[in-house]
Amino acid sequence: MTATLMNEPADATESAISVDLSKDSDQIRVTTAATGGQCAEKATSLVSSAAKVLGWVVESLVYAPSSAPRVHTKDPGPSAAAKQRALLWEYIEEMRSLHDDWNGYGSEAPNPFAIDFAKQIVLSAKAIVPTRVVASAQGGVGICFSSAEKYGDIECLNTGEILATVSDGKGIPEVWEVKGAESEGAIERIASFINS
Amino acid sequence: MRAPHVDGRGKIGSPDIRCPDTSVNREKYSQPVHVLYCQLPKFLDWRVLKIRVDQVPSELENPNDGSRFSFQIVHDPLSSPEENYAHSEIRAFVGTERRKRLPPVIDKLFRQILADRLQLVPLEELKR
Repeated sequence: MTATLMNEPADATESAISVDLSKDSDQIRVTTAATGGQCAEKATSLVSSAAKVLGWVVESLVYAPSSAPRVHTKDPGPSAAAKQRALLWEYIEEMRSLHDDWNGYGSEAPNPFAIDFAKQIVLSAKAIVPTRVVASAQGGVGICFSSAEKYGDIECLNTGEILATVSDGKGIPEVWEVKGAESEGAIERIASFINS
Repeated sequence: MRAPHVDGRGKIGSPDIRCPDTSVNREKYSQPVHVLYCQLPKFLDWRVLKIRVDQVPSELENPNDGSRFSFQIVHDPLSSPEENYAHSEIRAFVGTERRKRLPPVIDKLFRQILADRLQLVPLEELKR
């Protein structure tokens, strides 16, 4: 008959203690993780009792309890920005069902390249959250950013071209081509413009 | 012209506009709501936007090579199956030669200028 203590560091992140003192078992197994003082005391008591019965001296379980009860914050759930990204991701995915001439102006439906690249941009847009996504009348997907008076977008075209713009609605808009690897820079430029 | 949505500003963006050969209806021959009658009833819940002729850019220069592109509104009535006498197109030219495709930066610039200047037609106006 043996007694085995399986110890986890006191700063482990789980909040459960499991003490297995089953009569059928010839092992005592204590698995500790981050615990409150109350749980640790209970575990210590149980194990000590078991050890005495077995004639064992449990040298120390003082390491098991953490010094203060661990507070587990309630999971706040996804942030508003994450929800917005998820929603836009779904909208883009739905664009796969569009057919050519979806707008009555003869526009091509977005192709897989445009859809997949647009989804990447929505996920990687950390500097600013897109406000809407649209099937592009030019053939592709547009990811739009806007505030009360300013606007910017990145447009992933079926041709493989990626274009970006910023505009305050009054002057001449700025327009530039974006290379695939530069999309984060384009997003930062748009964010800087809109937040300025 | 029509678009499926407008943003919080009541505006659209360049991705909502096709260029060249941008389709519009001439107000002289139709009402704004007629733009929604294409492929009935597919677009009845879309929004309508309008622009004055003098707000359509007449010329743009390519910043990369200095080439110039002009834009003209051409009355282009449609017959069967989409009968639309008011239909017009904003077409692009280099000199007198019509272009069906423009450098990406030029078409994007044209579309964004148009998007900035297009005004949303209020729903009440469409119901008249």
